[in-house]
Amino acid sequence: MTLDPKSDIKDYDLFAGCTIQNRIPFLEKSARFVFEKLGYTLHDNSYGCCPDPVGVMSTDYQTWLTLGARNLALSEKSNHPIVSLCNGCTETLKAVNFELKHKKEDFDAVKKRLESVGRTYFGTTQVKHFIELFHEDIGLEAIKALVVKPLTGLKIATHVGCHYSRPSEMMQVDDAMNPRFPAEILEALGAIHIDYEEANLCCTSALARNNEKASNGLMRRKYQSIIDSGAQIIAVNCPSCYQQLEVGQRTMKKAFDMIVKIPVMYVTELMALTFGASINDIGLKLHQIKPIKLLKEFGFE
Amino acid sequence: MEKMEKIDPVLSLHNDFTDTELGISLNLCYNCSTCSTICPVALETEGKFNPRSIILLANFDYEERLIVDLSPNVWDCTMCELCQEECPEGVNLHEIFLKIKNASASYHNIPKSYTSETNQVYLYGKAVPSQPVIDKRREQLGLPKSPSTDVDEIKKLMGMTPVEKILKEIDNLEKQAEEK
Repeated sequence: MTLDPKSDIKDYDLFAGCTIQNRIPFLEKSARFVFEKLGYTLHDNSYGCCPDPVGVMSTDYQTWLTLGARNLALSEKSNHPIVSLCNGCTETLKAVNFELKHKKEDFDAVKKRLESVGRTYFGTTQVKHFIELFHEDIGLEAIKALVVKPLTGLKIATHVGCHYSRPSEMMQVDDAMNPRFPAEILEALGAIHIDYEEANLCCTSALARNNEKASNGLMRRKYQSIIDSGAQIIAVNCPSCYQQLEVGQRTMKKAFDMIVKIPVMYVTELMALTFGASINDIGLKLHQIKPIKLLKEFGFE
Repeated sequence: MEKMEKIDPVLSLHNDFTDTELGISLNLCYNCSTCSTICPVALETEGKFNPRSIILLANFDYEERLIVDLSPNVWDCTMCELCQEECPEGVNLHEIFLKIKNASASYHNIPKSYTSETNQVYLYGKAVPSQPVIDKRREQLGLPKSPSTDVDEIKKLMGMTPVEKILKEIDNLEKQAEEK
């Protein structure tokens, strides 16, 4: 459950994150389409890397805190809350606020560093994952009201991803061990949400950086579980999970001669389609595993 | 500019785990194995990597094994945070693992992909910098230009933390290895 009060604010700073901005921007396209339909105005800000709570935080905690606080300071200045399109960015921005609130020594050091480049940080910027904003502030009924073409009959499994809700102390969203918000949003769009044994299993994007064998083995478990469930699409809400689960399907062929061909789609892409976007509008042809044939079977153009 | 003292990563990690809030949290572990039961990597590696053994070694001052020998290898952690959520004693595994990783990094024991990513942030302000082919794609999609950031400011801020030194040392070591 979120601790933040529901808000009527319709102006947000968009934290798309560098993976979406500069590698898979079609995900941003669908998100912007959805926010516009929902009556929100998204503002760009000159953020740097969030920075990544896996790569950069593991290398040096002080860098991670300082650059995270710099981004939060940018939004304190613009006076907008942040909506993030990425689990990792959300974790960093929420966790940096949390850490600096609880660790006086780090707060003083970060404040001093930022002041030396002319920035001020107070820790007042609210940060939300887009799923949290949709589910908690906008609500399922309001989402349902915008659906012009439901996902009726489509069987969709969700992979929510670890950094969306954990560590729960910092993330304060959904049920940390059994997150349901993405599934509930998809059901509001008319889809059949498919549960599967390994729903909570990590995409292993971090593990793959050091132990490819273990990562491949875990991904095989995950894919097999999804195949057994009969799901036609894997819905995600994190660009790292998106890439890992898309690219991983080719890896399965190479590593185990295992055939996996299940389109991976962002929750915002599925929302955009039901809100009236065309397949072309949101660049679905740019996916590695093309969802187009399947979507056409369900009447999407 | 903060003064960067020469710190022994093993000693520094030992201090982090002694007479600190984190050290107290570490001491709460009574070896129940909840963390290792829920860890997906422990399952996949049949226990070769497991969070419990890392906590145990940290508790018994085996800092050197953890960051010098990487045995067990902390970088096999996939950062799913399941152990952190489920530990019945409330041991702060998240932060303990983070400390071990940071100490390993200052000992230059860090996977290449981690430091290259951090180096991208140092050079371009972003882990994934903008590139012409994607800029063009953004335009085709009708998206605004990818917002730029103040790279010099980010570089300056990173110069005030230990990371600049770590990146330089690792870069030098790589160059030396190439020369050999």
